[in-house]
Amino acid sequence: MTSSTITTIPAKITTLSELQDYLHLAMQLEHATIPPYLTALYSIKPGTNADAVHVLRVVAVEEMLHLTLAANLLNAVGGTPDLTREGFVPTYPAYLPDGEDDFQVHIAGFSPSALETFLKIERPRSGPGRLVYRSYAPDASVLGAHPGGGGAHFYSIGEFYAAIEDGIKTLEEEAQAQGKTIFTGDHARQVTSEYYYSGGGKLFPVTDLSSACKAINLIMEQGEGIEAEIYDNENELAHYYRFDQLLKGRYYQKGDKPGNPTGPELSVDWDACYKVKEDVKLADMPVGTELYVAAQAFNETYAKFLRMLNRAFNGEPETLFGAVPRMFEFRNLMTELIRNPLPGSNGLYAAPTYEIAGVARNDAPTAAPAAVGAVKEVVA
Amino acid sequence: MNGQLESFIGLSILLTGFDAVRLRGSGMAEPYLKAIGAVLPPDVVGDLLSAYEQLPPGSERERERVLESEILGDPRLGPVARNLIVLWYCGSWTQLPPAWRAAFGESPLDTNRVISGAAYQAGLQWEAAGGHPPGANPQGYGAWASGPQRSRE
Repeated sequence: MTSSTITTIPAKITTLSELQDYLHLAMQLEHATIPPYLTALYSIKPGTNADAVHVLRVVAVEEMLHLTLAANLLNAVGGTPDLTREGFVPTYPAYLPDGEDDFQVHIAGFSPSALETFLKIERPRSGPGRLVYRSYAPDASVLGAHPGGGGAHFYSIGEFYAAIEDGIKTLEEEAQAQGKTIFTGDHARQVTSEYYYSGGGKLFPVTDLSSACKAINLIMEQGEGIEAEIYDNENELAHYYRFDQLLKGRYYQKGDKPGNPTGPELSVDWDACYKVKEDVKLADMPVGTELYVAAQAFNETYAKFLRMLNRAFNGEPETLFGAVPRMFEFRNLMTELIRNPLPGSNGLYAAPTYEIAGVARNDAPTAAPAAVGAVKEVVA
Repeated sequence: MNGQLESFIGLSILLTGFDAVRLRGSGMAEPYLKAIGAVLPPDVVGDLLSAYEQLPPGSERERERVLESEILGDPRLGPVARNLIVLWYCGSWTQLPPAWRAAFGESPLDTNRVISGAAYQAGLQWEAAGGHPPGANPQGYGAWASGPQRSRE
């Protein structure tokens, strides 16, 4: 970040195409949290830190639910999700808004400072409903930017989602007044719970104003909770407090106040983790070595996975059945990288680089609906 | 330990046929080196690794030939090296033969046992067979309907 100024221009959505742009950004944002969470999770040495492993896994799985709900929202209002678009996978470190300033999200191992970042991701600042202007290097990945460009950014992620909720309500009200609706998307494009199971929170189709608001609220509440409550409407501990438990060394239980867990003790062994080099890139690995090849293989597998997800979000939800095993496959590739020393880094370890852009563009079947045969080819 | 680990991985590459990234990636190299150090009488691990370090440079085939005669063919080091193969593939330690125990020393830790739950999951046998450790490596609902996926050659 180089400079910031604040404007009083309100961040309001006024057209359907703007709403679709916002929802695409929401998908990008929800996805962007997953690589850092998974890297921290898999940097934990096998057989150690059971509490932290559980917390990180639950949160990562729920972020996948949020990504899917964001896709349902976009499909509901006639949009076309595109996970293969250049820049969908951010270049890490990625920037997230934090009021008038910002913070960086890294691909890094499990550590107290990684947890501090996760807390910031999950509990956005409440803001004054205005945009902040900041300038970045042209190749920086900035999440929470106003789709209108020009250096405008949301004050916080909370404000970003508030703008979406407000936009949906306003646009639907205007449409209804003319006897129309903005929820014109084909219901067959909705990903529903028969294609997906997860920990907390249910996946549901978005078809009208009430299911749309429910989806946005679920995404926000699973992250930060409701106002001063640590549990969300489904009686689930919000992500912020799940992470907070690891720093506090104690579980929350019903009736607890924020910041003061009184449940059973838990322990975190910060040393039982592979210390990975932050935001490692392919260029940090000697070309042609087994490590380089393994990092490339991960990026290719991840790109294929995104292409499968993209088909699932574009009218072929059954593609998820094949995408889930692929997800477990790239888990194996990730752990392998994280357990290998990175040459010339003073004892640090490697990690997945998530350099996806070029790979995803190559043969992305985004325009035409993919044939069933193509799905089989990827699964096999 | 660090130099020992390098040699241990080098020896394990020759014994298992898997590359260094895969062996380190299993997360088991350090636990296994520690485990054999605890089970075996003093000096056996050091001698095994020295024997590996003294293999002549050259083609893998040539190194394997010398490995067979100098390490696998050695009455003291051979059974340990064979145990290492089982250790990497199955995650379990196999009690050394009675003759070996009588000649080179017994240890109360030298019993048939799985090293750890993580070792069971990390066994190279699963990958070699194109499978997964039963009950220990979730692959997603219905994954059994498709063939093995992992192929990084």
